[in-house]
Amino acid sequence: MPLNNLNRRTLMIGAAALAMPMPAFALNNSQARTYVQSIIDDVMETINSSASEARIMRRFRDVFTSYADIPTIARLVIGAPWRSLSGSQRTAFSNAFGDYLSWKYGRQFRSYRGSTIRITRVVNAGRKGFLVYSTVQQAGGQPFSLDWQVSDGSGRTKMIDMIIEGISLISSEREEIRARLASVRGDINALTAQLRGS
Amino acid sequence: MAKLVSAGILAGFLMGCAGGSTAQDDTVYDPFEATNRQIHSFNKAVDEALLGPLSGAYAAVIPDEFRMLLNNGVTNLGQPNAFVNHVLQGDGDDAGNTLLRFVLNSTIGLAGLFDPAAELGVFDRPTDFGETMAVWGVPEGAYIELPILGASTVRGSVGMLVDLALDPLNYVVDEDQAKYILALRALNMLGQRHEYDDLIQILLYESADSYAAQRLSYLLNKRHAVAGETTLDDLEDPYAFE
Repeated sequence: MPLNNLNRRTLMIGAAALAMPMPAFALNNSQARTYVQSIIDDVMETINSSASEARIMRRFRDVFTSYADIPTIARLVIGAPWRSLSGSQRTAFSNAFGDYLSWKYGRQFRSYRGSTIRITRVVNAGRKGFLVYSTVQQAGGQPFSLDWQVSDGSGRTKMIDMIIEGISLISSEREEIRARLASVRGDINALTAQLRGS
Repeated sequence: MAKLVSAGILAGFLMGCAGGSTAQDDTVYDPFEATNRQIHSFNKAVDEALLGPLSGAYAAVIPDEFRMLLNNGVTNLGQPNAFVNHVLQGDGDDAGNTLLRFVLNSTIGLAGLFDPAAELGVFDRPTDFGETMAVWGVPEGAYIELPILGASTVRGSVGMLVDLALDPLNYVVDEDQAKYILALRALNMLGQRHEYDDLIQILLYESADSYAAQRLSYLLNKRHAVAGETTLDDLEDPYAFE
Protein backbone atom coordinates (compact mmCIF):
# COMPACT_ATOMS: atom_id res chain seq x y z
CA MET A 1 0.00 0.00 0.00
CA PRO A 2 2.63 2.59 0.93
CA LEU A 3 4.59 1.50 -2.10
CA ASN A 4 1.61 2.18 -4.31
CA ASN A 5 1.44 5.62 -2.84
CA LEU A 6 5.07 6.12 -3.52
CA ASN A 7 4.80 4.98 -7.09
CA ARG A 8 1.85 7.20 -7.70
CA ARG A 9 3.63 10.20 -6.28
CA THR A 10 6.81 9.46 -8.19
CA LEU A 11 4.74 9.03 -11.31
CA MET A 12 2.99 12.33 -10.77
CA ILE A 13 6.25 14.13 -10.22
CA GLY A 14 7.62 12.41 -13.32
CA ALA A 15 4.58 13.44 -15.34
CA ALA A 16 4.83 17.01 -14.06
CA ALA A 17 8.48 17.09 -15.09
CA LEU A 18 7.63 15.78 -18.55
CA ALA A 19 4.88 18.33 -19.01
CA MET A 20 7.32 21.16 -18.38
CA PRO A 21 9.58 22.60 -21.05
CA MET A 22 12.94 20.84 -20.78
CA PRO A 23 15.69 23.48 -20.56
CA ALA A 24 18.44 22.54 -18.10
CA PHE A 25 17.41 24.23 -14.84
CA ALA A 26 13.63 24.20 -15.00
CA LEU A 27 13.13 23.36 -11.35
CA ASN A 28 11.97 26.20 -9.11
CA ASN A 29 12.05 26.75 -5.32
CA SER A 30 8.60 25.45 -4.59
CA GLN A 31 9.04 22.34 -6.76
CA ALA A 32 12.35 21.60 -5.02
CA ARG A 33 10.55 21.93 -1.67
CA THR A 34 7.70 19.67 -2.81
CA TYR A 35 10.17 17.09 -4.07
CA VAL A 36 12.07 16.97 -0.77
CA GLN A 37 8.80 16.91 1.16
CA SER A 38 7.80 13.79 -0.75
CA ILE A 39 11.18 12.17 0.04
CA ILE A 40 10.63 12.97 3.72
CA ASP A 41 7.04 11.67 3.66
CA ASP A 42 7.98 8.41 1.96
CA VAL A 43 11.03 7.84 4.17
CA MET A 44 9.10 8.53 7.38
CA GLU A 45 6.21 6.34 6.31
CA THR A 46 8.71 3.55 5.66
CA ILE A 47 10.70 3.79 8.89
CA ASN A 48 7.63 4.30 11.08
CA SER A 49 5.90 1.24 9.64
CA SER A 50 5.26 -1.72 11.91
CA ALA A 51 6.55 -4.18 9.28
CA SER A 52 9.52 -6.44 10.01
CA GLU A 53 13.01 -4.98 10.04
CA ALA A 54 13.94 -6.78 6.81
CA ARG A 55 10.83 -5.49 5.05
CA ILE A 56 11.45 -1.94 6.21
CA MET A 57 15.00 -2.05 4.90
CA ARG A 58 13.80 -3.40 1.53
CA ARG A 59 11.20 -0.64 1.30
CA PHE A 60 13.77 1.94 2.29
CA ARG A 61 15.97 0.74 -0.55
CA ASP A 62 13.13 1.18 -3.04
CA VAL A 63 12.35 4.68 -1.74
CA PHE A 64 15.97 5.75 -1.52
CA THR A 65 17.03 4.49 -4.94
CA SER A 66 13.96 6.03 -6.59
CA TYR A 67 14.81 9.52 -5.31
CA ALA A 68 18.62 9.52 -5.19
CA ASP A 69 20.57 10.00 -8.41
CA ILE A 70 22.72 6.94 -7.71
CA PRO A 71 24.75 6.98 -10.98
CA THR A 72 25.63 10.67 -10.46
CA ILE A 73 26.57 10.09 -6.80
CA ALA A 74 28.63 7.06 -7.88
CA ARG A 75 30.48 9.15 -10.48
CA LEU A 76 31.18 11.96 -7.97
CA VAL A 77 32.41 9.48 -5.37
CA ILE A 78 34.69 7.52 -7.74
CA GLY A 79 36.07 10.68 -9.36
CA ALA A 80 38.54 10.60 -12.25
CA PRO A 81 38.77 6.76 -12.58
CA TRP A 82 35.05 6.83 -13.57
CA ARG A 83 36.11 7.94 -17.06
CA SER A 84 37.97 4.73 -17.75
CA LEU A 85 35.10 2.43 -16.69
CA SER A 86 33.01 0.62 -19.29
CA GLY A 87 29.25 1.14 -19.44
CA SER A 88 28.56 -2.23 -17.84
CA GLN A 89 31.11 -1.61 -15.07
CA ARG A 90 29.41 1.69 -14.31
CA THR A 91 25.98 0.08 -14.18
CA ALA A 92 27.14 -2.84 -12.04
CA PHE A 93 28.95 -0.53 -9.64
CA SER A 94 25.99 1.90 -9.42
CA ASN A 95 23.59 -0.94 -8.59
CA ALA A 96 25.81 -2.41 -5.88
CA PHE A 97 26.58 1.07 -4.54
CA GLY A 98 22.84 1.87 -4.38
CA ASP A 99 22.21 -1.24 -2.29
CA TYR A 100 25.12 -0.44 0.00
CA LEU A 101 23.97 3.18 0.49
CA SER A 102 20.39 2.06 1.17
CA TRP A 103 21.55 -0.36 3.84
CA LYS A 104 23.85 2.16 5.50
CA TYR A 105 21.47 5.12 5.47
CA GLY A 106 18.42 2.96 6.11
CA ARG A 107 19.95 2.02 9.44
CA GLN A 108 20.66 5.65 10.18
CA PHE A 109 17.12 6.73 9.29
CA ARG A 110 15.70 3.92 11.40
CA SER A 111 17.04 5.77 14.43
CA TYR A 112 14.92 8.78 13.39
CA ARG A 113 11.77 6.71 13.95
CA GLY A 114 9.01 8.84 15.44
CA SER A 115 10.81 12.10 14.62
CA THR A 116 9.36 15.09 12.84
CA ILE A 117 11.34 16.42 9.88
CA ARG A 118 10.40 19.94 8.93
CA ILE A 119 11.61 21.88 5.87
CA THR A 120 12.72 25.34 6.95
CA ARG A 121 14.13 27.02 3.83
CA VAL A 122 14.95 26.54 0.15
CA VAL A 123 17.85 28.26 -1.60
CA ASN A 124 18.54 28.30 -5.33
CA ALA A 125 22.13 27.08 -5.80
CA GLY A 126 22.32 27.83 -9.54
CA ARG A 127 24.30 25.16 -11.42
CA LYS A 128 24.36 23.04 -8.27
CA GLY A 129 20.56 22.82 -8.11
CA PHE A 130 18.68 23.62 -4.91
CA LEU A 131 19.62 23.43 -1.26
CA VAL A 132 16.66 22.49 0.92
CA TYR A 133 17.16 22.92 4.67
CA SER A 134 15.28 20.75 7.13
CA THR A 135 15.37 20.08 10.87
CA VAL A 136 14.97 16.70 12.52
CA GLN A 137 13.22 16.83 15.87
CA GLN A 138 13.36 13.61 17.84
CA ALA A 139 11.08 13.13 20.81
CA GLY A 140 12.91 14.50 23.83
CA GLY A 141 16.01 15.14 21.76
CA GLN A 142 18.07 18.00 20.48
CA PRO A 143 17.01 19.12 16.96
CA PHE A 144 19.64 18.70 14.25
CA SER A 145 20.00 19.79 10.67
CA LEU A 146 19.40 17.60 7.63
CA ASP A 147 19.95 19.40 4.35
CA TRP A 148 19.21 18.15 0.85
CA GLN A 149 20.71 18.98 -2.50
CA VAL A 150 18.33 18.32 -5.39
CA SER A 151 18.88 19.00 -9.06
CA ASP A 152 17.16 18.37 -12.37
CA GLY A 153 20.42 18.75 -14.27
CA SER A 154 20.17 15.14 -15.48
CA GLY A 155 16.76 15.88 -17.02
CA ARG A 156 14.84 14.50 -14.06
CA THR A 157 14.55 15.93 -10.57
CA LYS A 158 16.74 13.86 -8.24
CA MET A 159 18.44 14.01 -4.87
CA ILE A 160 22.19 14.53 -5.19
CA ASP A 161 23.33 14.85 -1.61
CA MET A 162 22.08 14.61 1.95
CA ILE A 163 23.96 16.57 4.63
CA ILE A 164 23.48 15.64 8.29
CA GLU A 165 24.87 18.29 10.66
CA GLY A 166 27.39 19.31 8.02
CA ILE A 167 28.46 15.76 7.16
CA SER A 168 27.66 15.17 3.51
CA LEU A 169 26.87 11.74 2.10
CA ILE A 170 29.02 12.42 -0.97
CA SER A 171 32.04 13.57 1.07
CA SER A 172 31.91 10.65 3.49
CA GLU A 173 31.30 8.07 0.80
CA ARG A 174 34.09 9.51 -1.34
CA GLU A 175 36.42 8.90 1.59
CA GLU A 176 35.01 5.43 2.26
CA ILE A 177 34.80 4.20 -1.33
CA ARG A 178 38.27 5.46 -2.20
CA ALA A 179 39.71 3.71 0.86
CA ARG A 180 37.95 0.51 -0.18
CA LEU A 181 39.08 0.89 -3.78
CA ALA A 182 42.67 1.34 -2.59
CA SER A 183 42.41 -1.82 -0.49
CA VAL A 184 41.57 -3.87 -3.62
CA ARG A 185 44.32 -2.09 -5.59
CA GLY A 186 41.89 -0.06 -7.69
CA ASP A 187 39.99 -3.07 -9.04
CA ILE A 188 36.46 -1.75 -9.56
CA ASN A 189 35.02 -5.21 -10.23
CA ALA A 190 36.35 -6.45 -6.89
CA LEU A 191 34.89 -3.40 -5.14
CA THR A 192 31.52 -3.95 -6.84
CA ALA A 193 31.51 -7.56 -5.65
CA GLN A 194 32.44 -6.42 -2.13
CA LEU A 195 29.61 -3.86 -2.01
CA ARG A 196 27.12 -6.37 -3.39
CA GLY A 197 27.97 -8.70 -0.55
CA SER A 198 27.49 -6.02 2.11
CA MET B 1 52.89 10.96 25.38
CA ALA B 2 51.44 14.11 26.96
CA LYS B 3 54.68 15.94 26.24
CA LEU B 4 54.58 14.84 22.62
CA VAL B 5 50.99 15.98 22.21
CA SER B 6 51.53 19.41 23.75
CA ALA B 7 54.61 19.90 21.59
CA GLY B 8 52.42 19.01 18.62
CA ILE B 9 49.74 21.42 19.73
CA LEU B 10 52.25 24.23 20.07
CA ALA B 11 53.94 23.53 16.75
CA GLY B 12 50.60 23.26 14.97
CA PHE B 13 49.33 26.39 16.60
CA LEU B 14 52.32 28.37 15.40
CA MET B 15 51.86 26.98 11.90
CA GLY B 16 48.19 27.85 12.02
CA CYS B 17 49.01 31.40 13.05
CA ALA B 18 51.55 31.62 10.26
CA GLY B 19 48.67 31.04 7.87
CA GLY B 20 49.70 27.48 6.98
CA SER B 21 46.11 26.37 6.57
CA THR B 22 42.93 28.02 5.48
CA ALA B 23 41.02 24.78 5.31
CA GLN B 24 37.70 24.74 3.49
CA ASP B 25 35.13 22.08 2.64
CA ASP B 26 36.82 18.67 2.31
CA THR B 27 40.35 19.90 2.81
CA VAL B 28 42.27 18.11 5.48
CA TYR B 29 45.47 19.49 6.99
CA ASP B 30 47.09 16.64 8.85
CA PRO B 31 50.87 17.00 9.21
CA PHE B 32 50.87 14.80 12.36
CA GLU B 33 49.07 11.94 10.65
CA ALA B 34 51.53 9.23 11.69
CA THR B 35 51.27 10.13 15.39
CA ASN B 36 47.54 10.71 15.10
CA ARG B 37 47.07 7.25 13.64
CA GLN B 38 48.94 5.67 16.55
CA ILE B 39 46.70 7.52 19.00
CA HIS B 40 43.69 6.45 16.95
CA SER B 41 44.65 2.79 17.26
CA PHE B 42 45.03 3.28 20.99
CA ASN B 43 41.65 5.04 21.29
CA LYS B 44 39.97 2.38 19.21
CA ALA B 45 41.46 -0.37 21.36
CA VAL B 46 40.24 1.43 24.51
CA ASP B 47 36.77 1.79 23.01
CA GLU B 48 36.65 -1.83 21.93
CA ALA B 49 37.95 -3.30 25.19
CA LEU B 50 36.57 -0.82 27.69
CA LEU B 51 34.24 2.02 26.70
CA GLY B 52 31.99 0.02 24.37
CA PRO B 53 31.37 -2.89 26.78
CA LEU B 54 31.18 -0.57 29.83
CA SER B 55 28.64 1.71 28.15
CA GLY B 56 26.57 -1.34 27.20
CA ALA B 57 26.64 -2.58 30.79
CA TYR B 58 25.86 0.90 32.11
CA ALA B 59 22.84 1.20 29.80
CA ALA B 60 21.66 -2.28 30.77
CA VAL B 61 21.83 -1.54 34.49
CA ILE B 62 20.82 2.12 34.64
CA PRO B 63 17.31 2.90 33.36
CA ASP B 64 16.73 5.30 30.46
CA GLU B 65 15.07 7.88 32.70
CA PHE B 66 18.04 8.15 35.00
CA ARG B 67 20.48 8.44 32.11
CA MET B 68 18.36 11.27 30.72
CA LEU B 69 18.33 13.08 34.08
CA LEU B 70 22.11 12.77 34.27
CA ASN B 71 22.54 14.07 30.73
CA ASN B 72 20.20 16.99 31.47
CA GLY B 73 22.13 17.83 34.63
CA VAL B 74 25.54 17.63 32.98
CA THR B 75 24.34 19.68 29.98
CA ASN B 76 22.90 22.29 32.34
CA LEU B 77 26.23 22.60 34.17
CA GLY B 78 27.81 23.39 30.79
CA GLN B 79 25.48 26.31 30.08
CA PRO B 80 27.42 29.03 31.95
CA ASN B 81 30.53 28.25 29.90
CA ALA B 82 28.48 28.20 26.68
CA PHE B 83 26.98 31.54 27.67
CA VAL B 84 30.42 33.12 28.15
CA ASN B 85 31.52 31.85 24.75
CA HIS B 86 28.39 33.07 22.98
CA VAL B 87 29.06 36.50 24.51
CA LEU B 88 32.70 36.39 23.40
CA GLN B 89 31.43 35.52 19.92
CA GLY B 90 29.17 38.56 20.02
CA ASP B 91 26.12 36.35 19.49
CA GLY B 92 23.39 37.99 21.56
CA ASP B 93 20.68 35.64 20.32
CA ASP B 94 22.51 32.45 21.35
CA ALA B 95 23.72 34.04 24.60
CA GLY B 96 20.17 35.04 25.55
CA ASN B 97 18.84 31.62 24.59
CA THR B 98 21.52 29.92 26.72
CA LEU B 99 20.90 32.18 29.72
CA LEU B 100 17.15 31.59 29.50
CA ARG B 101 17.72 27.83 29.33
CA PHE B 102 20.00 27.90 32.34
CA VAL B 103 17.57 29.95 34.42
CA LEU B 104 14.52 27.87 33.46
CA ASN B 105 16.17 24.49 33.89
CA SER B 106 18.01 25.38 37.10
CA THR B 107 14.75 26.51 38.73
CA ILE B 108 11.60 24.79 37.48
CA GLY B 109 13.82 22.07 35.97
CA LEU B 110 14.97 21.15 39.49
CA ALA B 111 18.66 22.02 39.33
CA GLY B 112 18.81 21.05 35.68
CA LEU B 113 17.65 17.45 36.07
CA PHE B 114 14.69 18.17 33.81
CA ASP B 115 14.60 20.15 30.59
CA PRO B 116 11.44 22.28 30.59
CA ALA B 117 13.24 24.81 28.36
CA ALA B 118 13.30 22.29 25.49
CA GLU B 119 9.55 21.76 25.93
CA LEU B 120 9.20 25.50 25.30
CA GLY B 121 11.40 25.25 22.20
CA VAL B 122 14.46 26.75 23.91
CA PHE B 123 17.01 24.13 22.82
CA ASP B 124 20.63 23.71 23.75
CA ARG B 125 23.03 25.72 21.60
CA PRO B 126 26.34 24.15 22.48
CA THR B 127 29.56 26.01 21.80
CA ASP B 128 33.11 26.23 23.13
CA PHE B 129 36.20 28.40 23.04
CA GLY B 130 37.43 26.61 19.91
CA GLU B 131 34.38 28.02 18.10
CA THR B 132 34.94 31.41 19.71
CA MET B 133 38.45 31.46 18.22
CA ALA B 134 36.96 30.44 14.87
CA VAL B 135 34.61 33.42 15.04
CA TRP B 136 37.60 35.61 15.81
CA GLY B 137 39.27 34.37 12.63
CA VAL B 138 41.76 31.87 14.10
CA PRO B 139 42.23 29.08 11.51
CA GLU B 140 41.50 25.52 12.65
CA GLY B 141 45.12 24.48 12.22
CA ALA B 142 46.30 20.90 12.02
CA TYR B 143 44.02 17.97 12.75
CA ILE B 144 44.84 16.24 16.03
CA GLU B 145 43.49 13.06 17.54
CA LEU B 146 43.78 13.32 21.32
CA PRO B 147 44.12 10.28 23.57
CA ILE B 148 40.66 9.32 24.94
CA LEU B 149 39.17 12.72 24.03
CA GLY B 150 39.30 11.85 20.33
CA ALA B 151 39.06 14.02 17.22
CA SER B 152 40.15 17.65 17.47
CA THR B 153 42.28 20.30 15.81
CA VAL B 154 44.97 22.58 17.16
CA ARG B 155 42.31 25.26 17.60
CA GLY B 156 39.91 22.83 19.23
CA SER B 157 42.56 21.52 21.64
CA VAL B 158 43.68 24.98 22.69
CA GLY B 159 39.98 25.83 23.09
CA MET B 160 39.47 22.89 25.45
CA LEU B 161 42.30 24.10 27.69
CA VAL B 162 40.95 27.65 27.69
CA ASP B 163 37.43 26.40 28.48
CA LEU B 164 38.81 24.59 31.53
CA ALA B 165 40.16 27.89 32.84
CA LEU B 166 37.26 30.03 31.63
CA ASP B 167 34.37 28.00 33.03
CA PRO B 168 32.38 30.21 35.45
CA LEU B 169 31.57 27.03 37.37
CA ASN B 170 35.17 27.12 38.66
CA TYR B 171 34.33 30.15 40.76
CA VAL B 172 31.28 28.65 42.49
CA VAL B 173 32.20 25.06 43.22
CA ASP B 174 34.80 23.88 45.72
CA GLU B 175 37.41 21.22 45.03
CA ASP B 176 35.28 18.30 46.22
CA GLN B 177 32.31 19.42 44.17
CA ALA B 178 34.56 19.80 41.15
CA LYS B 179 35.67 16.16 41.50
CA TYR B 180 32.07 15.09 41.85
CA ILE B 181 31.08 16.99 38.69
CA LEU B 182 34.01 15.46 36.81
CA ALA B 183 32.80 11.99 37.83
CA LEU B 184 29.26 12.78 36.65
CA ARG B 185 30.63 14.02 33.33
CA ALA B 186 32.64 10.83 32.89
CA LEU B 187 29.56 8.73 33.68
CA ASN B 188 27.51 10.76 31.24
CA MET B 189 30.16 10.15 28.56
CA LEU B 190 29.42 6.42 28.92
CA GLY B 191 25.73 7.19 28.45
CA GLN B 192 26.50 9.21 25.34
CA ARG B 193 28.74 6.43 24.02
CA HIS B 194 25.70 4.17 24.28
CA GLU B 195 23.34 6.77 22.81
CA TYR B 196 25.48 7.10 19.67
CA ASP B 197 26.41 3.44 19.45
CA ASP B 198 25.03 3.00 15.90
CA LEU B 199 27.02 5.92 14.56
CA ILE B 200 30.18 4.81 16.35
CA GLN B 201 29.77 1.30 14.96
CA ILE B 202 29.61 2.64 11.40
CA LEU B 203 32.41 5.14 11.88
CA LEU B 204 34.91 3.10 13.90
CA TYR B 205 34.15 -0.51 13.09
CA GLU B 206 32.64 -0.62 9.61
CA SER B 207 34.69 2.00 7.79
CA ALA B 208 37.52 0.90 5.53
CA ASP B 209 39.75 3.53 7.18
CA SER B 210 38.22 4.51 10.51
CA TYR B 211 40.89 7.12 11.16
CA ALA B 212 40.11 8.99 7.93
CA ALA B 213 36.35 8.54 8.42
CA GLN B 214 36.42 10.02 11.92
CA ARG B 215 38.71 12.85 10.82
CA LEU B 216 36.44 13.86 7.96
CA SER B 217 33.24 13.64 10.03
CA TYR B 218 34.76 15.73 12.78
CA LEU B 219 36.08 18.43 10.45
CA LEU B 220 32.89 18.71 8.37
CA ASN B 221 30.71 18.80 11.48
CA LYS B 222 32.90 21.41 13.18
CA ARG B 223 33.04 23.64 10.08
CA HIS B 224 29.26 23.39 9.85
CA ALA B 225 28.91 24.40 13.52
CA VAL B 226 31.19 27.39 12.97
CA ALA B 227 29.39 28.49 9.78
CA GLY B 228 26.02 27.99 11.49
CA GLU B 229 24.52 26.23 8.48
CA THR B 230 25.32 24.45 5.22
CA THR B 231 26.42 27.01 2.64
CA LEU B 232 26.22 26.90 -1.15
CA ASP B 233 30.02 26.55 -1.25
CA ASP B 234 29.68 23.22 0.57
CA LEU B 235 27.71 21.74 -2.32
CA GLU B 236 29.19 19.75 -5.17
CA ASP B 237 28.60 20.80 -8.74
CA PRO B 238 27.05 17.47 -9.76
CA TYR B 239 27.63 17.89 -13.47
CA ALA B 240 31.03 19.57 -13.38
CA PHE B 241 32.64 16.65 -15.22
CA GLU B 242 31.25 13.70 -17.13
